[in-house]
Amino acid sequence: MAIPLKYNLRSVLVRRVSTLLTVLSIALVVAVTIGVMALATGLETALVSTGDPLNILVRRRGADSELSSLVTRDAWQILRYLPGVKTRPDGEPLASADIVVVINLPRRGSAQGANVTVRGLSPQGMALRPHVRLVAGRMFQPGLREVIVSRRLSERFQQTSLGDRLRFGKGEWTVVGVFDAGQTAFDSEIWTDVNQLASDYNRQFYSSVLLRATDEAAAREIIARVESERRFNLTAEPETEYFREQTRAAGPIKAMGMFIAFILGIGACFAAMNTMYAAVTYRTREIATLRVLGFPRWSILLSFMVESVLLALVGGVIGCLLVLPVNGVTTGTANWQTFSEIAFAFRVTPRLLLAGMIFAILIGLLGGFFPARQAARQTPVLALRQG
Amino acid sequence: MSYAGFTWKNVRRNTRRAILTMLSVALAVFVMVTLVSFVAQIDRNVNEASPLRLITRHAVSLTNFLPERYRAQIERIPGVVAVTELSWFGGIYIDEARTDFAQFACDPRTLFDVFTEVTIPPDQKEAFQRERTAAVIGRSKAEKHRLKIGDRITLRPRDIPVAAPLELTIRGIFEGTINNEAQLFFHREYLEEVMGRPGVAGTYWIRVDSVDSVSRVSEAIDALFQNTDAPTKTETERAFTMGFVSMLGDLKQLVATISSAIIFSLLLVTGNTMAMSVRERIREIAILTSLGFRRGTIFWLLVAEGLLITVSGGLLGCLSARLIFGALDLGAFSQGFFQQVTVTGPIIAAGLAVSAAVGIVSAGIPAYRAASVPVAEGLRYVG
Repeated sequence: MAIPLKYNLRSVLVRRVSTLLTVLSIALVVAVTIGVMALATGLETALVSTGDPLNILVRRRGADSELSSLVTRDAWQILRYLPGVKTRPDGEPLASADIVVVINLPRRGSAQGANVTVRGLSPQGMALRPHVRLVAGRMFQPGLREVIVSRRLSERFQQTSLGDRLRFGKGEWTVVGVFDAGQTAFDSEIWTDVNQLASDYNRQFYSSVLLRATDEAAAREIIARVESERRFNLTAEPETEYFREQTRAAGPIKAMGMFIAFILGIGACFAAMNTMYAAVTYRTREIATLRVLGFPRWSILLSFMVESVLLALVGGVIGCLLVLPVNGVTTGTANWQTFSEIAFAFRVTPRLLLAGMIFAILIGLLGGFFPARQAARQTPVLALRQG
Repeated sequence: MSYAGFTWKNVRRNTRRAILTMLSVALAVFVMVTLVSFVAQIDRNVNEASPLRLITRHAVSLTNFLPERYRAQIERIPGVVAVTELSWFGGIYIDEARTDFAQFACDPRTLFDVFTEVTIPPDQKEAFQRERTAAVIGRSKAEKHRLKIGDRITLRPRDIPVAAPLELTIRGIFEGTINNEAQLFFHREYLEEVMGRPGVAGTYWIRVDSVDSVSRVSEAIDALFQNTDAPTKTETERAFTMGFVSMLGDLKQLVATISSAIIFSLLLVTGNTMAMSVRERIREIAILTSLGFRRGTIFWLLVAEGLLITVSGGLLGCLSARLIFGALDLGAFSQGFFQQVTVTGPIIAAGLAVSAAVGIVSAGIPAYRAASVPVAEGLRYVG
């Protein structure tokens, strides 16, 4: 026979202030934990959702990132005409040779600079990345020293608004368009014409080549072909894979989140324990009465555990609500692999919220167990005689 | 019984509750002190930078190289004492996990004239300068990897297109910073050779004669190369390091937000404890008042109780953070980004101050209310 839930609800309400304080402290711990994890998730999603599985990125064997990779012009001519590469109706292969350089730009509201990636694209470069769309201005014209800038980047850096002039390479470039890359890694880049960029930087080589395969089988074939051609000394992998590898950048943030969650979680357990011990002490006689009425020990144990979990659940819900406003707030951090800043947004995902709730329940269970056990072990006769 | 004895007795009245509260304060302070220490460590690295050192890099970014002929032109500027190239070499020593030190190609003749704070025995310095494949490494890394003079090490290139791995011989071990003795230096001549003589340098590190020369020299350098293929940006070591730090994002704000959430949650936890223990004692407090104790005295006795719990918790948190981070090899965890994090005296003092403030506020409110309950009502109170 279990003690009705109503008993717990009423008991909790009797000690309103004490309950509220404990609930709020659990809420804060849950909120901080979800907040830090949302930072890591945001960074990971930006990288993981970048690329198309049918896009194949070719770069120099042994180069960790496009920045340190070289692809010769000869190799580019061979690569774009490989069998399995999708072609446009006019016969032009869907392939882009890119050049990637890093420039230093001052942030808005501070003289302090940060590194930003500039990518030079071949004419098919945009078609290969259909999720990238212009939201203001127009596309850059090849040969005209024009660039388009991601919206997120233009919010964070000086000289990157529509019509502004940027200085890098051999002179000034005009910002003619602003694009939105749908929260992918391209949201941290500046794009321009590859040939213009190559001549500014005296580059004889491209950084990487991106190919669109007709289907998955063709993709596998292209990869095998590139890998087996020894004279290329190139390596190929799906674009998605390349960005997934960069999610390492989120490692330190995750570690910090885990550290905070673990230690503060224990602290919150202790706080819950305190409240529950007090509840047990206040209700010593009540518990004894329940026992005399015939409620077995397990139902007392269960009842107090339920009460503790209830407190924690309410805390968890409040914690989730507290952290929701950070969802979508844009921030940036260093991606050491590309040696430039990557902009991303906090992402409070349903999964994180669920994890936060489980975390809260765990706090409730651990914090409630010892007090509940104490309550269950009480001897009714002694307790009734007390106070 | 003395006041101190009275407080001590009261704290121990419910030992379990006091200990649980103390431990949750300790854990929260531990987290806070840790976060603050990391941020402070970054600041300290920035502040350790010498005001007399300038760094010249490519104006566009660090990833662009500068021509080697710039050096002679920089050396001719009045006020320049010494110049060395430093080119970052991202090599792998044995494997990724053990590569916890940065490697730079330098000019061995002038390296120690630019980094004057670094000490190295004169015979080791000479040996390093003499041999083309010689290298020097900081003491802390030499000890960690058990490297001694005469040991050979191999650095496999990771990113830079280099024909062969670098085969180096340790000829010297230096002490006293260049970021906590955690870097390795070798001859730029050797790197140029294996790279097929591109004739480039990553950065130029310049020592000037006085603080007054700093801005004049840096402006002179940038003016010199303004209209070339490779314009330069010259800044002080401090500004240069700050640039790296700012790439990490807004760490300070993040840590401040988390810390304030923690402090607030601490207030709630200890406030709850104190409210509970005061409520149980309203009758006793009324008795104390009727015995002639002043309300003020009673108030401070209760606050002292809260203080005892929170400050001892804070102390525990601070000291354990200090011990743990003193013993931990962070370089291995963070791939060389943090060589060492010290929980300094001022940070501990701040941690204790926060604990004390939490104690005063959280005990103060219930104590004030309890102390102002009229005697008759208090005696009648059923808890």
